Amino acid sequence: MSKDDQILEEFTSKEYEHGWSVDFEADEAPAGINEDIIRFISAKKEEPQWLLDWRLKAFKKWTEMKEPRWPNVKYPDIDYQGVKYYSAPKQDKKPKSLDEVDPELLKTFERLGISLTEQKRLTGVAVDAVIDSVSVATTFKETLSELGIIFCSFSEAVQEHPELVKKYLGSVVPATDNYFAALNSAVFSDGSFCYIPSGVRCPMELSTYFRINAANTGQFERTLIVAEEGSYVSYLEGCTAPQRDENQLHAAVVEIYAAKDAEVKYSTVQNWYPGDKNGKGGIYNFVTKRGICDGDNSKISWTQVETGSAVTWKYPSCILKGDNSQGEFYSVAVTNNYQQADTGTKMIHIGKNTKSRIVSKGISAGKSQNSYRGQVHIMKRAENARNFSQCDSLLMGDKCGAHTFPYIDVENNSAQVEHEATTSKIGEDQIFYCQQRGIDEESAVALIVNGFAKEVMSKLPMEFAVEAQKLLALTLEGSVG
Amino acid sequence: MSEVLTTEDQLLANFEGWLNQRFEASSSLRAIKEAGAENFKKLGLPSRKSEAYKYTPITKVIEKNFDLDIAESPSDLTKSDCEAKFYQDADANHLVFINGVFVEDYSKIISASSELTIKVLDDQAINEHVELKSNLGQVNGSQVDPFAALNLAYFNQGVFIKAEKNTDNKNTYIYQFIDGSKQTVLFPRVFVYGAAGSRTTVYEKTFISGEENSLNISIVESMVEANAEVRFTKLQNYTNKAYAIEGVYAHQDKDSRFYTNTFSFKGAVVRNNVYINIDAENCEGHMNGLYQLSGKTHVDTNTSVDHLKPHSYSNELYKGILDENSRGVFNGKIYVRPDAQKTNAFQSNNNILLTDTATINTKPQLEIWADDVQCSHGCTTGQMDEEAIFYLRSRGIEKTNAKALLLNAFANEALNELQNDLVKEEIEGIILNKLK
Repeated sequence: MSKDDQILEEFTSKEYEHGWSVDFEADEAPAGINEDIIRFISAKKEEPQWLLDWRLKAFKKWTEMKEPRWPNVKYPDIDYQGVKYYSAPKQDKKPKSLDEVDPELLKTFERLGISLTEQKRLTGVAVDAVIDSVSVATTFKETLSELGIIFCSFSEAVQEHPELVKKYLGSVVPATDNYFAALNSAVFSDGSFCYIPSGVRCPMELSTYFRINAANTGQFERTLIVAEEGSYVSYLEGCTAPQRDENQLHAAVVEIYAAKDAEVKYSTVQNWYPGDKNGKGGIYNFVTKRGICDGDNSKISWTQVETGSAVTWKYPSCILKGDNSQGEFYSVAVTNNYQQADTGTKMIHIGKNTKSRIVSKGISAGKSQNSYRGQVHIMKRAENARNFSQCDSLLMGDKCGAHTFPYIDVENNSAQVEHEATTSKIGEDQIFYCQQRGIDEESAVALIVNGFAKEVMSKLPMEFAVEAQKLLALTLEGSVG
Repeated sequence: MSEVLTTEDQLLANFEGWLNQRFEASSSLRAIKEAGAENFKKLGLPSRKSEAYKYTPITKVIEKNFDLDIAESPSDLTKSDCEAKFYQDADANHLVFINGVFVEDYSKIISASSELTIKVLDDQAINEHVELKSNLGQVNGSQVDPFAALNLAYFNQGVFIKAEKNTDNKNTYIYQFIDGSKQTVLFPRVFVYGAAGSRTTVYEKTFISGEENSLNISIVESMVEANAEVRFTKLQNYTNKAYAIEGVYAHQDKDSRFYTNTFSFKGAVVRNNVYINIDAENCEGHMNGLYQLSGKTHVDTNTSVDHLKPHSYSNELYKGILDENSRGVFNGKIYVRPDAQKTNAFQSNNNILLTDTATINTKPQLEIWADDVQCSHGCTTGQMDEEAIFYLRSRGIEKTNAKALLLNAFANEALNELQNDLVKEEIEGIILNKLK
């Protein structure tokens, strides 16, 4: 076995680092989905009637919809009746402060490396942690509330700010938008809610951490971010799941609303359990993410690093409705073993002088399939719209695949739209060049790949960039042979 | 025999009768045609949701505009009428199709049969040429498109062109005459076989007369043997009443070269399917095209290059100029299969929209399963560069002329692989004329 093969072997046989589960008592709904389960979830959350009605409507629509099969991914049929739609870590009463949170739970987060207390002190990042669908604790709430920023779990928002939730919930991703969004709307159990009042620049990064812990559960969280006129917020999302043989379903919805002059930056490091090296187990990550630049001069920026999940199906999109609004999408998607990813974005240009930029870097290794699917739509009214898209793919090994499906629809002649895509492997000449200068092959590969993804990595907030780079390095070392 | 073109069933309702009139039960062609009809039934007409026809709801278009007889309609065209339209190329073969049927009598064939066989694609040709019998209707992609299957079922007297081994052949021109004085649907079919080491060049041009709707479902199949070269060029300058669904399907053997050029200028709705299968090493596949549209013309180009074996090269360049209310659709696919290492595949699609009522839908698609390859695609949509126009105007060139000059330069790149001066001049003329 050559050195390269050894390294490759080492890497491919590497176990999932976050693959452990903690036994704490969970408060669960029985498996399956029907109106009663939805009523159960709603009652559990003490929700108002309108929300229950909204859920039931979504459920009714969902039962009429068909599961989409157009993505370039293959997976066995999902048994929607075998999934537990609600699983909350059991707590006797709501904790008032971090000190009251179940220590077992806190330990979980410590193992994940996001100890809430630690983060509270050191990094100044406000964290809302969601475990098995239920929001556990939110740090820094008081500091934020002084500025008028609301950052809390979704269920809390429903109780305390029903008028805001009612106004914005489903305004960007309607309950019946697509199959998985409808499912989420029917059964979502918690999530994060964030409201930045006008003129406020959020002083710290807001962050959510998702983890699926219990077996056979699905995670259906919902994030709603509202940025009022002239405000700014940077939002981070991270996720892990324990290692299990069966596939677990994650169908989340993220909605972002940006008013005039507002700016929202949303970053994700997705590291759900990808399944073992034979493709067994792993998370099905079917997520709907969409933002609307409703006001003039607003901006929404998506940055994602996708390294986990058995199957990913995700298109963070921007509706550029306000004049001069901007949308950005930066993505690094890494797939290995039998992972499949079909991810990309939609940029819908409606307003005048709208701009969008798409940079997508796909890296596939092992027997994985990695697809970019994106749409740039310049509507008739969108004078002087501008789009630039770039999708580069890097293939490592001859068993994987890289695919590009860009849809470009232009209805206005003043638009300028550019798309380019390349597919290649790491050049031997590049490696040779590095080796000549005393950099060993392994470091050379890391160097080149980091350079390949740099454009996206540099868009990540500091805290995430480190984690993301570590994740990348794991996937990439010695994959060239 | 009056079939109404609304559903698959109705389309095939009188197929048996149509077949019985023309073919004996023992005919080999009959069996092939029955298979074609069977395949069409299986595939069905594309619905609104078919990805391949997403931007061109062709079934609706047909249902709305046609109520047709699938008989080949006779025409009053005389031989000299046709000859008057020939290119002034004496040292070439000129083939005449009238309403989708190859008319040998009107054609002028000068190549020796030891070099280039040109004959009616009928039972006799099939029985004499085993390569035709085994490949007709089988060339890549032609099994997956319902219209190719429909053509296979209904074509009547296509043409079979075969270049013998190691021959360098004269140009062959195909003229399609369509009599649009009443509604017509026609199914011309051309099979080009390039034997090892041969070289064949075919140009196709269509003339449409009359004011009624016509639907041209045309198929060209080409087998390119080892080290052979086939070039096929198509000029589509139809009328506003002309609907067309046309396919060019090629299969390449090792060291072969295939070139195809498509120039679309006018028509109601035109759909072009261009598929190249590169099933051997060291092949070159080239696809070039230009769509320069105005009025309400809708041109949909659907291309695919499938690299199945290593060490091949493909290049694709499509340019679009869209004026008035026209619509261009481009879907280019490149597949690089797991074995096809060291493939170089390039694709480029550039569009200019001249009005804000013109639309372009483009989807350059790459699907790659091999790692040691170089593949890229680029796609741009934009408008004319104001600075370039200003530059020319500052040198005393009028604005309209400056624009024409720039657009002409933009369009001309698509003519790079066109070697025939007669055809080139004609196309350049059309481009310039449209820019005025």
